[in-house]
Amino acid sequence: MSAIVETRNLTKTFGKGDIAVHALRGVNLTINPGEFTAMAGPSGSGKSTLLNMIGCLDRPTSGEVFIEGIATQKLRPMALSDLRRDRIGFVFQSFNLIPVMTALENAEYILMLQGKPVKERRERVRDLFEQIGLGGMESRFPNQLSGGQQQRVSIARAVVAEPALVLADEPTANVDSETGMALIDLMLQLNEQRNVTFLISTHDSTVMDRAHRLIRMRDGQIDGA
Amino acid sequence: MGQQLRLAWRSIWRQGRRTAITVFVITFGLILIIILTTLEEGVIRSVIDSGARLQAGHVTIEHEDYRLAPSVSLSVPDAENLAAELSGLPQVQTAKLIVSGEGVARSGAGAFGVLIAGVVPELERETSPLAENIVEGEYLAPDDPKRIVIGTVLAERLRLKPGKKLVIATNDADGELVERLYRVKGIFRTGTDEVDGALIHMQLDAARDLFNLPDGSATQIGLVMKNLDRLASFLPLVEKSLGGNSDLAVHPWQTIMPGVAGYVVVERTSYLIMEGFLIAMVSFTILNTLLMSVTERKKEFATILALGGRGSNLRLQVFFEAGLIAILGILIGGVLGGAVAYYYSVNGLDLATFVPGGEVEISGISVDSTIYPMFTARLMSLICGSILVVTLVLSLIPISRVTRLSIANLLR
Ligand SMILES: Nc1ncnc2c1ncn2[C@@H]1O[C@H](COP(=O)(O)OP(=O)(O)O)[C@@H](O)[C@H]1O
Ligand SMILES: [Mg+2]
Repeated sequence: MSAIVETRNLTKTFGKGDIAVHALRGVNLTINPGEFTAMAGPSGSGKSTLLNMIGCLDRPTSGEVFIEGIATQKLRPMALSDLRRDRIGFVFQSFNLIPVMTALENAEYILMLQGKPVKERRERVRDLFEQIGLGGMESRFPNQLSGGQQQRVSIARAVVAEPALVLADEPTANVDSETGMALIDLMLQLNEQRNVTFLISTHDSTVMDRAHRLIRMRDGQIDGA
Repeated sequence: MGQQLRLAWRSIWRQGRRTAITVFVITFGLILIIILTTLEEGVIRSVIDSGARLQAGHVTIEHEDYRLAPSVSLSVPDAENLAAELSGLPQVQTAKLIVSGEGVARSGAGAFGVLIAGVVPELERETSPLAENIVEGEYLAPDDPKRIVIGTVLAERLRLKPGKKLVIATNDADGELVERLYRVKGIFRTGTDEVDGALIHMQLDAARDLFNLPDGSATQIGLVMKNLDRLASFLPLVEKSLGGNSDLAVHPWQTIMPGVAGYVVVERTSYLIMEGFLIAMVSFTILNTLLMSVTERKKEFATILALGGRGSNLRLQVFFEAGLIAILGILIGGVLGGAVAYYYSVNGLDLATFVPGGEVEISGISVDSTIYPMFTARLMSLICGSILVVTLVLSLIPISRVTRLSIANLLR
């Protein structure tokens, strides 16, 4: 089976001249289906930047990103937007739930963007909520949920439309370690039961320990990949 | 669409206090604008109507040369038939005939230039400010060929009382000098010296007789309209029904009363400028609210874009938010302001307390001190519609910001 993500000589430079920051300096990375990969590295080593490039949220300075074999640099913004919607799930450090949507509406958001009928949306989200311990929380708004519950909703949002890949940028950084552990368990469970591919950046050693694969970033490069 | 509307509604209440304040500002501004507009338009309409009732109506038909050189020889020969025909038009409330000429009134006390108007007493009794303001004696009756009504100022100058006689001298339609004796039936007081010192009403037939004009003729046909708003579309209709009568001219009230027309322009401009300031203040508040709410939600919007949501959805949502805030303000303000305007449009607002003597004179036309604000569906929808349009146009500024988001930077 072909790779889900492949980056070739990826570089990203912010700013110009003296103040230029070389956030990525030639990253070659391949992620295969079903992998559960943790990405570690000191602050400022380029983890978020790399996730943004893979997630098609930003354009690289040079090099290429392939998602399921598609060369993303050739795609127009609209096509990139559709690619993100249909093939990539996002989990953010600070959850980023939409405050005016209920837990259920947040979780079904991608399905709604895809134009799936209400009934199907509700069923899929209810099943998933049941599975990940959010049963009964459907009509709560984000501010009525704990941090751990919010991150669960956001993980549900990321996986419900069965993307090829879920990118999670320090997903446990804003919760206590116990809750963080439970979130990792949840992602591992989804990886096993639903075969969701995860790429997770983290500072958290428990995440690194439990990941199937660990890559280390340093100064914009992958350390001994 | 439904989704965006639902999210817009929830979003505006996330900052409930701010939304409430914004709605209140719109409400308050709208109430002021409604009261100002309906009151000003009420005054304007009252001035035009008073003038029109004193003169020949909202639309005057006369010989095309009469305005430049008023002379009874420039009359409309078949005026009576024409008036009958025009009174059949649906826009016309009344069509009246007037014979109007100049002359000199003389008594033992002296001689003064006067303006003689031959009128149909039955019609004038209902509408004319003269008939309404008789201070001594009575207004004309249908068969009073030898009696006239004069104003207080002229009565004083000529030392006349009801029942006393005076001579009117003038040139008739053939240029002959004529003199007739009349008896004063009543004395009116409009409050305007130019009117009270010069205008004389006599019966239409008596005036034809004085000026030696044939039966059925008049110098003017005056049309009083049911709804003055329709004036622009009405004028061509009148022109058309005149058909072949090519030496007749159709004048709107603006031509007949240029002073009043000038006053209306000045009055409208000044209140519109005031309202411009009000709208600018309201707009500033709305814009501020919308910009703040968009700025503080940049991350939320960036998230939606990251997840694959369309910018157009976000733009639509912000547009709906602006629209909802505007509609709330317009509903509340429209109902409250409308209620006030409606109440006074029915019961009248007496400005006498603000005006010494209780009399208001505008451009040489005395106007009743009780003002009836102009409350019409058209005016109300115009005011409310313009607030809505202003808000929606303003929303384009925050909307344009939604689209210029850099997702990656905002999510850092
Ligand atoms: N938009 C940006 N503008 C300027 N510099 C940036 C920007 N994004 C990231 N950087 C810089 O790039 C480097 C890598 O940052 P980042 O990818 O956030 O690291 P990490 O996620 O590993 O902490 C850092 O030096 C950071 O300051
Ligand atoms: Mg980071």
